[in-house]
Amino acid sequence: MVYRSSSNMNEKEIFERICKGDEKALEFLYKKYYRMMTKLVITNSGTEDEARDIYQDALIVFWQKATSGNLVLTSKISTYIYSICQNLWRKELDRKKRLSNEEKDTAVAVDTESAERDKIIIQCIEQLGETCKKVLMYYYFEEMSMQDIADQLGFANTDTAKTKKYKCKKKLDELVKAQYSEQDFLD
Amino acid sequence: MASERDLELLDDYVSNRLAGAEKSAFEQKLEGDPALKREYQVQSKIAEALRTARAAQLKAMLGAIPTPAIQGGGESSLLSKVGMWVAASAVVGAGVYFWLNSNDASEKVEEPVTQAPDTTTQESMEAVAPAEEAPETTQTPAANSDESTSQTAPAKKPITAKKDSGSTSAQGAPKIDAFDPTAEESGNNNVAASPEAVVAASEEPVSNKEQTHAEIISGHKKYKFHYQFKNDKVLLYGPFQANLYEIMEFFGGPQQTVFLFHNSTYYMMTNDGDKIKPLLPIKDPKLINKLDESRKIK
Repeated sequence: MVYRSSSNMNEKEIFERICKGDEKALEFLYKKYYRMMTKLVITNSGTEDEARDIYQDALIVFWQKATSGNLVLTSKISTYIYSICQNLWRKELDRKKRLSNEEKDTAVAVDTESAERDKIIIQCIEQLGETCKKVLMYYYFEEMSMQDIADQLGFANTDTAKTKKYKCKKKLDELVKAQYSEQDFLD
Repeated sequence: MASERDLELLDDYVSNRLAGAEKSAFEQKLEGDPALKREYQVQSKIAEALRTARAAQLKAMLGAIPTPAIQGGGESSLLSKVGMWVAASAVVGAGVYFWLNSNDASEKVEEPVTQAPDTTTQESMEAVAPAEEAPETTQTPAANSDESTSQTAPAKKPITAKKDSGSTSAQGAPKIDAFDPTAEESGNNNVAASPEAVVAASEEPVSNKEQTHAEIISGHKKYKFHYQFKNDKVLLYGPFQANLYEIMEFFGGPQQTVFLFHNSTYYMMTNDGDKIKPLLPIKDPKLINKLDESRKIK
């Protein structure tokens, strides 16, 4: 028995859809290159979980760069993502090596306060409504234009998106500042 | 107290929307204005947290996508090969079942769509070995691969920041024994970059039967969500351009069973000449599971 499948997406379409923030296209890409990318980590002393983790991180880097318009693709998508996987895995191996050299304690001590603060800001984000969260994430992570945000979330126009973003950000600022003073953020 | 304009510029700055002279001018202003600098500290942390939260959200989304087991996935033992052949012969029977079914009165087509094919088909789907997907055609790697993981703007390291607090030193950098995807690609020079070719380049034996190509007919007055087999193609009537779809074909000898996957729903498509038929969703959970498995393997 032979099983084959085909779909309506070619390389160019996948990239165009990803640039517009189409998560379905990201899912498609994830499955498409799953074996190829995870093989890199597994054949270089990584576990299956690490392989999956690195591939997911690499794909998110790719996604962020594509959606923000900061990526001009000069190679195949697979080649590009592969190079990200290589870099991430190299860094992870390097990090492991450093941790094994007793650097662990200092790193943890330095990061504790900052991590706690980040955790509380994330809790503030969680208090926002779903639409607010999406607007702000699309704006700051994907760096989408107001037009793309309006398209993604079905807003009537860019003015609606701008107003929504302004209000959501104001609310988040208030939530965060209710927990902290500006002094708390000084490193 | 920072002015409204300064706060707008600050927001553009932390969201990487300032560039060139405007960015430099703002950075200068930031240095000379302690109140604005304090606000910058707050805003950059908030933006960073939003990025972290979004990265975590995307990661959770990817983590929920079913994927095949990686280790040992590409190899099959003699026993499993024998099992596959046994399953394959069972599928020939299943194929005949479908073929005979499809030659019944066309009015009956709607019923079988919602029912599972016999269990031999389902078992056979399960028995299909995972197919290693062929990489696409050779192309020069990204000019600066480091750029892929290093971000220049402040607070813009959604992925790497949590993994790595320092840079990778060249001398201590672990050596990665990487296979070059382009090398694999060069072994498949006859394979075009189209999805159809990628599928055909699977390591599985490929049926002599041609891949069914789909053609989309959108905006038809009468047929809004229908299909039709015509001239070795399947015509899909409806808004298929807007969304992803997948044509899934199962071959058992000369027999072929075709499914459509669209908007997270499966549809079976039976080839009854040129008849235009409505696409009816498969509801049988067992069959849906089997089809999910097959897509996972793919």
